[in-house]
Amino acid sequence: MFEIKEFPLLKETIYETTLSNGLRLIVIPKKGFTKQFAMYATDYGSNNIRFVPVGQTETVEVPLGIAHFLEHKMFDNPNGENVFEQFAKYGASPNAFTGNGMTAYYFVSTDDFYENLHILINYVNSPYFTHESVEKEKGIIGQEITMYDDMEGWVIQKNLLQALYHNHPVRNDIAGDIESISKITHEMLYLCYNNFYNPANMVLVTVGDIDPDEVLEHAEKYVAEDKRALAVGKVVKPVIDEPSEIVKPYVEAYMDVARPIVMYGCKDNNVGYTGCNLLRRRHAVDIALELFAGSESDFYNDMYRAQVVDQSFEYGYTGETEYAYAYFSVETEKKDEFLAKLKEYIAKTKKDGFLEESFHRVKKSFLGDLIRVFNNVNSIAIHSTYRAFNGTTLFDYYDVLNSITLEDVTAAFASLFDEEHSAVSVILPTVKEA
Amino acid sequence: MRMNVPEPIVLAKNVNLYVMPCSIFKTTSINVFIPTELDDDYTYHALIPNVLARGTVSYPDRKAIKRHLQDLYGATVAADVRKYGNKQVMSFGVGVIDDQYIQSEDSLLEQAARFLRQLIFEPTTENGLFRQDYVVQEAYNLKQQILSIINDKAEYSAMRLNREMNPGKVFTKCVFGDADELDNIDENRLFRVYKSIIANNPVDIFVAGDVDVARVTEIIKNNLVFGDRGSLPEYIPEPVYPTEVKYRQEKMDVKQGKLNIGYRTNMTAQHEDYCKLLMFNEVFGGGLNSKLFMNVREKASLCYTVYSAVDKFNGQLFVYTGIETANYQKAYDIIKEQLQAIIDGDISDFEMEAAVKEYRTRLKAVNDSMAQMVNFCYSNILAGVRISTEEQEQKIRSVTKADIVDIAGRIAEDTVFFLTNN
Repeated sequence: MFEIKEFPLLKETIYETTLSNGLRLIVIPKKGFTKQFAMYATDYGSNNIRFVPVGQTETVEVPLGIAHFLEHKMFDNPNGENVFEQFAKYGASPNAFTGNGMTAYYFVSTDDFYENLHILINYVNSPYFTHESVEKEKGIIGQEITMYDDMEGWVIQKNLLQALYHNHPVRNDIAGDIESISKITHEMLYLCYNNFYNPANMVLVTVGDIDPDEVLEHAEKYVAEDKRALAVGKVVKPVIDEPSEIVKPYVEAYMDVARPIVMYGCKDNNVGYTGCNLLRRRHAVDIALELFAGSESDFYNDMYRAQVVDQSFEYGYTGETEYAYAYFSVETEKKDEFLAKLKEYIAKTKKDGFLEESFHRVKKSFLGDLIRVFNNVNSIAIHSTYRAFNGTTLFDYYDVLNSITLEDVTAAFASLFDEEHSAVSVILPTVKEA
Repeated sequence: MRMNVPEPIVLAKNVNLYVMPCSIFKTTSINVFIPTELDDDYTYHALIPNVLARGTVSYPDRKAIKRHLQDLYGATVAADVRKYGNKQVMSFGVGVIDDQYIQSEDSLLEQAARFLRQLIFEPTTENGLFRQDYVVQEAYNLKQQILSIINDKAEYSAMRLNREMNPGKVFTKCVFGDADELDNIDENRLFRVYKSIIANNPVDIFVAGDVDVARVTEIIKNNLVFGDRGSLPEYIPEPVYPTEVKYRQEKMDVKQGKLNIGYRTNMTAQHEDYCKLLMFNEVFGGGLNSKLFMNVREKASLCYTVYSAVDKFNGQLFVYTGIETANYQKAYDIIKEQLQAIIDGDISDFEMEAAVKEYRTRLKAVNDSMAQMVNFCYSNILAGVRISTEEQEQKIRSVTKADIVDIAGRIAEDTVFFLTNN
């Protein structure tokens, strides 16, 4: 039986249930859409490098980048047939991604949805890792890592996180590095797989012009084919001991870029939120940042006119249960002025606060952003999966957003920034020899 | 749901409105496209949308614009230039939440059309020209944007290949203009070019969403008033038959090399064999089961990125890879072997089936995205073809292995560009 959540304003419904094997299933019907999208995901990502295996007491540590490596190797199958080939017969395009906190496998189809769903569930439930296949993958992933090493936006963020965090694995690249992946073995992949890829730790999300009861019926049938002998119980993710202090206030690197790039980041030690409280914290900060640095803000417009910032200016907030940080970045010839003015405006805003009318306008536009998500089958599925691991749904956002007050936003801004917990990451253009 | 190519509603000579009613979306979008030539004014063309987006008579600066857009439930607005073949196209777009999902006194759709009118026709001015400070700032920023293309090594190396392959050709010009020219923008000329384009260049307007055609037509007619105008000459690229392969390279401070190869197909979207070319590309390097993906990546482990793409305007095809620089020869040889294999008829039933099915899925999925629907239609109009996704799907289905072998034999390698390190 489904638990049904309706959102009359948007004319959308979410169907949720738990299958007999313990797997959560979420179905969001989208009448009239051509595409179907299914995502099978585990609450396990690049951050989970230390864990206590099911039924054991000792913490084990595995190499950085292993969750991502495992994701790549899920595409091999015991019968030797490549997963891409299986989906190709039905015209579906499969893909996968690894994040800091989750790994997701998905496909987009326009026909034969249930055949494709069968393949998805079956291949993620059928690990097949060998010494040879693991060694072979190191070349491919090595090139993926090298590709990111040449992307300045990626490098500047990684350097910032390494300046902010001492111990938390978020300071590392999701894919790890060439050295860490060289240590990965097929035994390690099985260890991670067996602990994190069990139904209780996973979720299946399907979106499209599909019938929830039919999806349920098929999904039950497919998970019943599961031949894995998985240990029963929950893997323990130890609490990471991360001091509130930063590592260092400044980090720089040289790359072949047109002009300097600067990123200012602040470690937010106000963490530990979960569920709707986490959502609330995150969106209070999002509204604060939009008010402070969005295109209607004094900061952005004053800096734009002074040619300190341009369209390359970005800002954002990552707010998770264990870690949170805010950042501002820009490509600019005037990086010192940018940093000085940023601090000056932050101090001024802390003192003056935000205008009530501006606050209401930003809330209104955020509501528009929520409605927009429902235009796209892929975004509905990705957002829903992510929310499922955080114990919320796509609809909770609406109530949370409505409940946020100007005081919440002002308080969030005031608590977010302080000099002591901030760091600067800079990329400078490589000096060319004459 | 299937999208047919909408019949244009002719608002004036060479001013066409295309309405795409589709009830599945919760937003409505209006896009205005104005093509220009990549001529001596191309830097000015690129600058105009950016200057217009700075302020209108009613909303004289960005702050005022942004506040207005937030009041419209976070309406999205874009003003920029894009390149399609030898044309530089000014694009103005606005997206709003469909009126049925919000409680608003004034229709968001009408307000969106009104804002688009203000953006295109009613710029804030001083002394009869664009505001000087806006021009100076936007010129500086555009120049920075051009110079920063080098930051994205994949984009930069693709641009370099295209230029090495087509020296001096208009269609290889940077869509954002010439960096040096942006140092000395003539404000009189800028305003003159703007006025001339708004008055003389063809206009195509697209509206997509859960809309009523008659009502939308009224709204557009009332707000976006473009008079009769001429058309631009159709673009028919001259076929090129390379006699030898050009090898070019550049050294940069990079960790990964980019090996890109350009081929001549001399088949544009209008060519009778165009759909066969698309299927050749799927088998060669377009899809997840293509020869390039399977052999260069999966079998040889040489790269993470490898794919090929068709340029439907200029009759070219490109292969893009990211490799360890030491593996240049190895990767190059394997890529060449894959093309040769197709020429030799080595296409399995599976490769053929996968190519057709994967492409069909992508084509059908176009109907689930407003942006893709509009782009599919508009790029085809510029390419001189009128085809629905369904018609294209039909054509794809009839392509045979023999067709693909035939196409492979007609493709000629032209230029190899390698971005490497010191």
